[in-house]
Amino acid sequence: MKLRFQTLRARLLITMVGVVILPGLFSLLWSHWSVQGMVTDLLNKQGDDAGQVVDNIFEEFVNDSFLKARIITQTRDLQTAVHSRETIDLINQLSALHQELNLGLYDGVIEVFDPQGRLLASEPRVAKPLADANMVKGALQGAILSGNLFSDGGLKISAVVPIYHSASAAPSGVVAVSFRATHKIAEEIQKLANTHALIFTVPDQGRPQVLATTLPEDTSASLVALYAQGQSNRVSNRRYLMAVTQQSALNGTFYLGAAQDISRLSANLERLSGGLMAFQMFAVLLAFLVAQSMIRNLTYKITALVDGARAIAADQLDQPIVIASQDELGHLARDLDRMRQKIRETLHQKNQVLQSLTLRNAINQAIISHRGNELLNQVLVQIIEALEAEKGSIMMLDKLNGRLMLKIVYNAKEGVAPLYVRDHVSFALGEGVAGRVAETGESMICNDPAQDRRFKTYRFQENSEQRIENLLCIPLKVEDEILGVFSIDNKPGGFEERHQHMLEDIAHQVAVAIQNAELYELSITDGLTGLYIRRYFEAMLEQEVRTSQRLVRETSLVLFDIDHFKKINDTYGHQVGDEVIRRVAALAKASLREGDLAARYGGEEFALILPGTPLELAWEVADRLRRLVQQTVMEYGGHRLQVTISLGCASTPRQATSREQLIERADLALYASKHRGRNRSTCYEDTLLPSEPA
Amino acid sequence: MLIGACLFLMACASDAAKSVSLTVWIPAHPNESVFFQRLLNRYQQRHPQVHLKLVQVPFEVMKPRFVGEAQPKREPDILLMPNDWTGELSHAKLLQPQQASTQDFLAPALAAFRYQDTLYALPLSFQVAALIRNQDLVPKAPSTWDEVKTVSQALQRQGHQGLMYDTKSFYYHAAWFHAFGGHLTPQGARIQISPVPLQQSLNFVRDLEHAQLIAPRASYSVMTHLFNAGQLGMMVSGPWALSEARRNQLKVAVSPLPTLPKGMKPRPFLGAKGWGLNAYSRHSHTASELIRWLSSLEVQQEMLNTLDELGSHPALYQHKALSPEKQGFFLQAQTAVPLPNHPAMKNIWAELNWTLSQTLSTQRPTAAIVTEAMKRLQRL
Repeated sequence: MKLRFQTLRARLLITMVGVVILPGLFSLLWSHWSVQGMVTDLLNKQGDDAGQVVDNIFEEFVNDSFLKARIITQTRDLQTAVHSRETIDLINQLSALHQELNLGLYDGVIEVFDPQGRLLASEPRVAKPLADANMVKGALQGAILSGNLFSDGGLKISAVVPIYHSASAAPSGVVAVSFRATHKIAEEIQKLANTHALIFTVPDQGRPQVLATTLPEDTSASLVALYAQGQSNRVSNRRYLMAVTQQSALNGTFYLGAAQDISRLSANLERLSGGLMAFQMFAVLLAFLVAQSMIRNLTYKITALVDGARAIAADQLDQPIVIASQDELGHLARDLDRMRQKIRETLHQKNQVLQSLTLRNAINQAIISHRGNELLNQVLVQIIEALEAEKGSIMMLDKLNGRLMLKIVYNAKEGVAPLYVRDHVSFALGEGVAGRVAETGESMICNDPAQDRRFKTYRFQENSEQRIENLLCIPLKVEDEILGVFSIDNKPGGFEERHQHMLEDIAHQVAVAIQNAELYELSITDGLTGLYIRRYFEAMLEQEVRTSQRLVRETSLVLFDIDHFKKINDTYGHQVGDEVIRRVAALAKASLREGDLAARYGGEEFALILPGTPLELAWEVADRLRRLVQQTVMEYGGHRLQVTISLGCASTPRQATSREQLIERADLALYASKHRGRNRSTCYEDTLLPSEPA
Repeated sequence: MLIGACLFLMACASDAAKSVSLTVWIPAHPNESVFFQRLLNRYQQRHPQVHLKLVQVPFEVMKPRFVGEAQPKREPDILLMPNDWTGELSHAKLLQPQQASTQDFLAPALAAFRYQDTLYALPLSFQVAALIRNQDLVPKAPSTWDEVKTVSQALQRQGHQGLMYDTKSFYYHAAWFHAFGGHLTPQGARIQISPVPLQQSLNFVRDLEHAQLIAPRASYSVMTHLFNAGQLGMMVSGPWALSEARRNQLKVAVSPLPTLPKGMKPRPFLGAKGWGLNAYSRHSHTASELIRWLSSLEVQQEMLNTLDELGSHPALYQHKALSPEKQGFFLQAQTAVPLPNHPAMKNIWAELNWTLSQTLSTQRPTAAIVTEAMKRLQRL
């Protein structure tokens, strides 16, 4: 997830890191360093203490040897043995004293020298005297001496005391208690101090030398080498920390080291430090997780609000804004969601109104532009598309047989009307849903035809393609007169009452238009023949002449009348005459093509307007009508009549440039047919024009 | 039984295949620790699956530490022990019995670790006291006390001392006690002492004193002091005394102790050091294998050449290159008596030493001394 720094969440996260994580990490590092520092100080202090203890113990051994040397010289039996030079007694005395004084503790040696400085005896026996000859010499002069001395490649610690006998004022000999700096002394120091002890030298020239140690040889060597390099009174090789004190000998310097094994302590420190770090890391992590959770909880709500507001702004009003909490943000979300619902409701209503208005506008356009079946077809298409239904139909009530007859069928998928349906489908009043609507004049919604007994299923509707899933049936009525019904079928999701209300208004509008069209039709047609009256004919002819001239298209006019009509009237009466006129008019209407127009021009005179029809073709139409009339036997009132007609044809713009001129030329052609013997068709020719007076 | 045998073999096989750690205790001694560490390193090279840890323990605390730690800590697995601990440790059931061929060890050395007919350690070395002389003062070893008397008087005339030994220690006196037919016989929880041979041996040392063949005030310290100072011709001591004599550039020789009157052969104590196996060792099979190797001729030969120790394998003494000093101790060992390993021994040393002190420091009849000693021993 990409985290942009402008977002609230990123800023909160940065703040949290600044307030919680960084201080936590600093605290962690600080405590780690503090613990290390404290432990290091503790170790150093402990090391120094151990160094001091080792120093003290060594000093105690020196003092002990000095004290014991004095005790030995105060032993009367020894004084006697020394004075008498009785060797066996002397050795036995020394052996007993050595044991009693526990000089074996540090490998101490008791030596007895005669007044000439010669070694009389020692315990344990040594081949070569340990005590320094000069110290012995000094003691023979009454001095009590103690000191450390390097000799024979080692360090000796000696206490030299004169021994007296009551028989002589001068010393009868000298007693020396000496010990060497050996591993034994280091071990004894270790036992008492509970720390490793080292005695070593660091000569100005040459390598440091370990005289005594309780550590392995290589470990001692490394520690001493470290000390020799740095001359610090504390050195460490990671495992051991050695504190060093300097000691003086009569002829040099040596060092005492107290080495403590700090590996365990270091390991404990590592564990403690690691544990502390782990604990603090855990605490920081926990703080991070808690803060992250709080931020997520907060930002999730704010993000939900922002997303909801953005969706509303983008007209995406179906997504609810939900924050399931009782805090202020939860209340805000619920208020925002109510606003969303209101906006959606308002927009929905607005859309419905707009849809209704759009549909009305389309219907109005259709009413204005179309008539008859075309009007019904346009209306049906507009309604189906507006309601997003699959198909629909319009059935008109046949006033002659009182049944609903299918007039228009439209399928949005196929786009064409299945003619076979139109030919076969009809309902009696009260039959099926449509019949009931036509009978009651009340609209009906049927969203489950399979369970609705009112619904009548035709066999062709049993296959899946023609199956009716739901339908809305609306009566076409003006006041109480039923003209027919709309049936709109298969709307996904079914129909609602609002669809019904919208269509009822439109159906009423369409019904009024249909009724008005019928009334208009009545005003421009002749009551006897049903053909257009002369005034309408002339208006239409005027329009066709202009159209032909604009499109340079030939339009023909045929004028004809019934031959000897006056004689029929006179012979059979006006009713027969009217019937003849009506029959001829019907033959004329039946012979016309789509777009042709027939009108009653006068009493027994008729006119045919053939738009887009050349003169020659117009003659053929005229002559075919002539032959049809001639061949038709008209029976009326017990009479069998056969009549003929005479026809005249003219065309524009070839033969006439105006309505009047075209009528005149066609009339001239009609007159020529009459003149030539009637029952014929004549095309206008300029020769028919009357000659102009000279 | 078959299943048990299979399980035992599987346990042994798995024990042998896995990595095993063993701890070996030896008495703290600078030279010996270097020697044994070298041995253990070699064994580890030969047996990479066995990890050995050598621990030096001060001799004076070794036994109490083993008694305290052997069972709860199950360590050490092996310890180098003197034979006189055998009875006490076997009574505490801390030692695992062992098997050994009599051909691989000197009989008295092996007997030193046998307690109540069970062998509890394989002997590594033995110690026995013999006559050590300064060849510059005593070129020829005296074989009888008469010869000793002659040599001593000659030395005394030269201002030297003749023969010394720690006369107040029954350890050395035991040679005369045994020569007179004496025995220290374990009987239940006690040690029975033959009173007659004891008295005879006491009479013998009193005679030596009267003849000024021994110095009654001479201690071990006096003896070594004078001998190493070149003032003493002969001393009775063990192989441990040789190194200091060498350090003092003395030319020493070792020979069996002089025979007593009537040809009685002195029979000193023979002490031994051997490898004991902790009865609670986690890896007793591997430890037993190690003990077998540590007691082998290979190791003993090396020890003989390196340390002042006398190996316990008879084959060592067939070698012509063996030093005369060690050959002398070996000859003395032929008549030696194993140092008793009965737990009660630790109680009677003081009483026996008392008899010697009484004999050499007073004029009391030896019979009275022995009678009182017997009473004192009965009270223990």
